[in-house]
Amino acid sequence: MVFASFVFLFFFLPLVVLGYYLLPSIRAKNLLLLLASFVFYAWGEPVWIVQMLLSGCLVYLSGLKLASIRRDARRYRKPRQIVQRELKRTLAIGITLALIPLIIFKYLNFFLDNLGLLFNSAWTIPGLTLPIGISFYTFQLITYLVDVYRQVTPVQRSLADFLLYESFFPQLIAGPIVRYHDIARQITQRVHSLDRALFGLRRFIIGLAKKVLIANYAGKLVAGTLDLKELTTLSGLEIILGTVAFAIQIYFDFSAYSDMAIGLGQIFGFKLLENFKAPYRSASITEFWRRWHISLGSFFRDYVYIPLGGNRRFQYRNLAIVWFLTGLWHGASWNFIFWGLYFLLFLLIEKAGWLRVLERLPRCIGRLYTLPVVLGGWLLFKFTELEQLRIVLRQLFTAEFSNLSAAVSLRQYGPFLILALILSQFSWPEVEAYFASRFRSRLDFVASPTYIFGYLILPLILSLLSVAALAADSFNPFLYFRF
Amino acid sequence: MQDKRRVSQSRKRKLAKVDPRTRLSASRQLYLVLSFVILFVCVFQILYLVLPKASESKVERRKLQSFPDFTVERFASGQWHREIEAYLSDHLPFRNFFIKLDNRLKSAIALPAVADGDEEVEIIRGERELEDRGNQMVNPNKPKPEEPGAEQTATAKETKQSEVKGPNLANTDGEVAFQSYALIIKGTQGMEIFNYSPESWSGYAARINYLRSVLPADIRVFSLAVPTAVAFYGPETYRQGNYSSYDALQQLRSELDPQVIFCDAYSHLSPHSSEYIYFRTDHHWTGRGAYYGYESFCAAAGFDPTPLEKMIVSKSEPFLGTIYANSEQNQILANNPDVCEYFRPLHVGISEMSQSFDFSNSWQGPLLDPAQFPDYPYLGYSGGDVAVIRIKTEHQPPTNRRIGVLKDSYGNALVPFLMDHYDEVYVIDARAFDGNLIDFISEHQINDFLFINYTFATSNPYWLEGFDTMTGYQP
Repeated sequence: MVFASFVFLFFFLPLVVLGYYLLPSIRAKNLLLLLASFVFYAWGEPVWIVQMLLSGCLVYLSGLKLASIRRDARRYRKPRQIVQRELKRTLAIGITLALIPLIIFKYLNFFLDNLGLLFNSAWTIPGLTLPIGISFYTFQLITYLVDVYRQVTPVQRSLADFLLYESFFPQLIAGPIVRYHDIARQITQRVHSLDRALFGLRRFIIGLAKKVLIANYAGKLVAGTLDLKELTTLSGLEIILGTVAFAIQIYFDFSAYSDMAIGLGQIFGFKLLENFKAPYRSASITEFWRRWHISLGSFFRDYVYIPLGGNRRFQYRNLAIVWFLTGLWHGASWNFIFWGLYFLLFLLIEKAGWLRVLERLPRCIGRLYTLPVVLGGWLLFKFTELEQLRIVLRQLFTAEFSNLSAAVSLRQYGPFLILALILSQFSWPEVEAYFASRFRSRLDFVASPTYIFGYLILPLILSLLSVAALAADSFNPFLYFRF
Repeated sequence: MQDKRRVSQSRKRKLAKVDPRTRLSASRQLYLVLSFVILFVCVFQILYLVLPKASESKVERRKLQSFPDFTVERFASGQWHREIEAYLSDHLPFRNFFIKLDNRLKSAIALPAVADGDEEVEIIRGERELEDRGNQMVNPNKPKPEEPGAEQTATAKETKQSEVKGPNLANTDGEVAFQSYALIIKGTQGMEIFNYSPESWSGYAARINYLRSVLPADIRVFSLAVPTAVAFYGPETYRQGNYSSYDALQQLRSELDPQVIFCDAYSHLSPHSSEYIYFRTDHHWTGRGAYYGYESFCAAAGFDPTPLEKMIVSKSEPFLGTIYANSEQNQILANNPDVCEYFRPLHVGISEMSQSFDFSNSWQGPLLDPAQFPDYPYLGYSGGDVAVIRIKTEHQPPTNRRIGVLKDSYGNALVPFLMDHYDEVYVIDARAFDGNLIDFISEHQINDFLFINYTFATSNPYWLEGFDTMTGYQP
């Protein structure tokens, strides 16, 4: 199911929230959330839920196994080395079991294609489609196992609670990668109140508006420029407009999903971590990656970089591996890998001293450097065929700068792009924090004159406009070749 | 950490605090907002249930999704879910209001229009589904990938691969073919950008040549290919090179078998471009434009065309056509609706229509009369898509000539003019015809065979596939 759809907005979500607040105990509430998450996932993709449950159960059992190894170790006073070896083995098996489906469904064909190029043959397995959300829930399962192994959290014995962690519908499909230890206690202990729930609802509406009003509209410009089949007709200005639009689309789309996930989480009493912090305000690539897709960066830092040795042993090798994987995670194609390595290059340059220089200069210089680098990265990200990228770059530097089509796109989307760029400089939590700083608590804010505007009028307007945009998306004149 | 009782007392106090402007306590304000939320959602839910459901959208000219039937396999494949979503989208309460609201918002934040010469130009891009053989397909949400970043691009790639560009769509098994299009509105004239693809024109010429080769030599074969409005009214950039209708027609002429008689519609339309020969809001030519096409046919066939002044004209009510429908409700087009002009030839016959090549279950069809089609009077020229039409005219003395016409919708407006030269006019639709064309031609003793297609038809895989099926042509 998709957040930005009428079935979710008018039927699924209201029913789930109603049931949630009617049920008395946390156990019952969690069970409802679990069932709702299954329905959410299975809607439109009924088959893949089996895969998700299977991965979940295997990791759950691995977690139990880790706990039982420790229990046996205490009971039989096993020597530490043996225990460590057993734990490590179980951890490795569990992580491998979790990763295998991800590798098969997402990367196997990519791997075979490349092998095929080497040996001059075509090997592919047809019909391999990607189960939705697999990249997200697989990583979450890995954080669970590692957290249990490191004894950061106790093992989760309740299968229902564990599956709720894996499949919690707000973050299942595209939400932040929630590390187990960030949410472990909240599964059984969380606080509900009307003001918190409305707080979360507003966050959800902001996210919905970002996706439907901004990201989807930017996507139309991308469709008319970078997505064209005849890239050779593009003028330089069109390419620039298309790239900016793509940068806006991808940021607003992705951060909107995080907003919606966090907002929905709040409605159900969960506090999820922020995933984006106005990344287009960054004054260096290092800063950019602390503001963009924070949960992915944290995952790679805590579960790959540091275990590999971090910045203490083989730092450059570790960085290379992390950035290779970061790129690869985004898609099974060489351009994504190059995109990851592209940022690695800039990070190394900054590490080598450029960052220190930037810190002494005014911030705007850093931003003037960062934005074009990021935009260039998006071009790399966009085109999976190297040939397309080559054509686009050639057009950018040699073709005419402006043509009729570019002028028309500029007039239609120009103000929108500028507005969106300005909005991208703010992150919603900062806006809320700014208002909240004037008050001692959220409830003090509720009793203030600005409450009705911020909580009723603004969300109402955004909701109506979002419904309008969704309605317009469904407008599909169907008659061109009818006769 | 405060103990629970103190927390709840402090919370109670805060909830009792009164907002000076609304004079409601904090807890009342919370409930006020909550009630609005519940109201908003419940209103929509109730209206979904209660409001009568239209079965089709006049503006979009398609059937709206009806509540999907439940079967286990449709459920398992996700088809049922997609149809539910389509159902909810199509029957959203106040749907038209919301669509207008969105359009207004988008035009409110755009700059004033760009000029080309002394006229304003607007370019609108989109994607449409190609309809298969007149069946209304489910209108699914366009495959929108769910995960941003990674999966978004990956899934988007998978979707694009299922966009079929050429013929052989029959085996796509429920996948929908998408085609991207771009409309230009220059001044008050709406038109679609034509993309010239030499390969598809070779395929088209080859098919005409094939039919020529299997028909007896005493049957004449004509090819009348019609350019669209963009050829005469489009901005310079969109009339040349990869967009040139003229070049496409020249290629066709050069690749046709010398035995095929080429009708030069372009040269006959061009001198009249300042007349009302193309609709502004629709992709078809007008009755007047069709007349000049008919003129080009007569020049090729050795007939004297009936002069336009001798024909009685009737007009339809104003209407808005296909280009308007695809234009996101463009205001300029909405303010300049079109009118159909019906020119009555000297000999008007009776039209018989059937969905089967043997004329079983036939009925009388419209001829130069829009009465049956108030929303789309273009269909009043000679009707819409049916497998076969037979128009019998009364000539004294009889002409002893019968013509077969294989057409797309551009032919609808031209066919009536043929009544002045033939005893019988057979009109065949490539997508709906269910028989063998060669047998049909010999059975009805057809003397002349005319292909009428506009420049976009060569890239319509359904039309080409229909031709292949009815003639046995192997591409």
